[in-house]
Amino acid sequence: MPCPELTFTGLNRFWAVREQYDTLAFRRHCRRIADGVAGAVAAHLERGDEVVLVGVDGSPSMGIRVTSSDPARGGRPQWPDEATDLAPGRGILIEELLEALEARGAPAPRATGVTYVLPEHDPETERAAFAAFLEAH
Amino acid sequence: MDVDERGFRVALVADEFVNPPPGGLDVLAVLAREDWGAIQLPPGWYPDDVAGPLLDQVAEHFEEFVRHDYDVVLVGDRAGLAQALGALGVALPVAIAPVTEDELRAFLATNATVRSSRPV
Repeated sequence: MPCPELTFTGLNRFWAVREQYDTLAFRRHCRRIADGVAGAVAAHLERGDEVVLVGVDGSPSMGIRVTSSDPARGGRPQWPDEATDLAPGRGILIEELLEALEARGAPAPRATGVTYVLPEHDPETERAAFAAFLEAH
Repeated sequence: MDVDERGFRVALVADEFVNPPPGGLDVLAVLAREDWGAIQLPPGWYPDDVAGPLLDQVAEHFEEFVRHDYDVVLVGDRAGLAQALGALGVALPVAIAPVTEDELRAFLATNATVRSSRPV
């Protein structure tokens, strides 16, 4: 899927949390991307393909189970190393994508998120979990 | 000093090279070994009204990569890509339709001009 943050704030963006991205303009940007992705999902469903959704857990835009949240985050971009902004929830693009699919009458696909952003990330565990996710029907 | 771990090398890859036929060249595996990222182009069977918005997104990513001096190449081709890039004032990158892994690896090496990590 396209990265909404890359095309909205660029390659040299600061890290940011959901609350900083959750503006009308960013929602509009995500909705444009989501409509395009939803069109592709619908095309695959129409020909009988199985579609799953793979996001990036911990991302303010792409999180499936874990997003990034801190209502107080703002101003000069300095924060303690121990600060955590991980929180249960979906990212903004994922929310817009699920709404775009619903608007097309397409079922919400099974979804999971890759975990490399999360502190407990373990590549072997993730690989096994992802394989199990793909195998499950 | 912290190091920016991004690779700064991105290949736009036609769908037939992402999903090759049995025995076909595994382009993604070669790209991974050579430390290149990949953006999959819409499959050729997508209708224009489905492929168009996706190509627009590819073009917007591409333009940002080019502005930041990433190495960007094209593996295969996709109808409509040149027009989507042209609408943003950027030209198609150097391209290859590889038959062998060695051919692709040599092409990538020739077009890898930036360091794979940068201090930040």
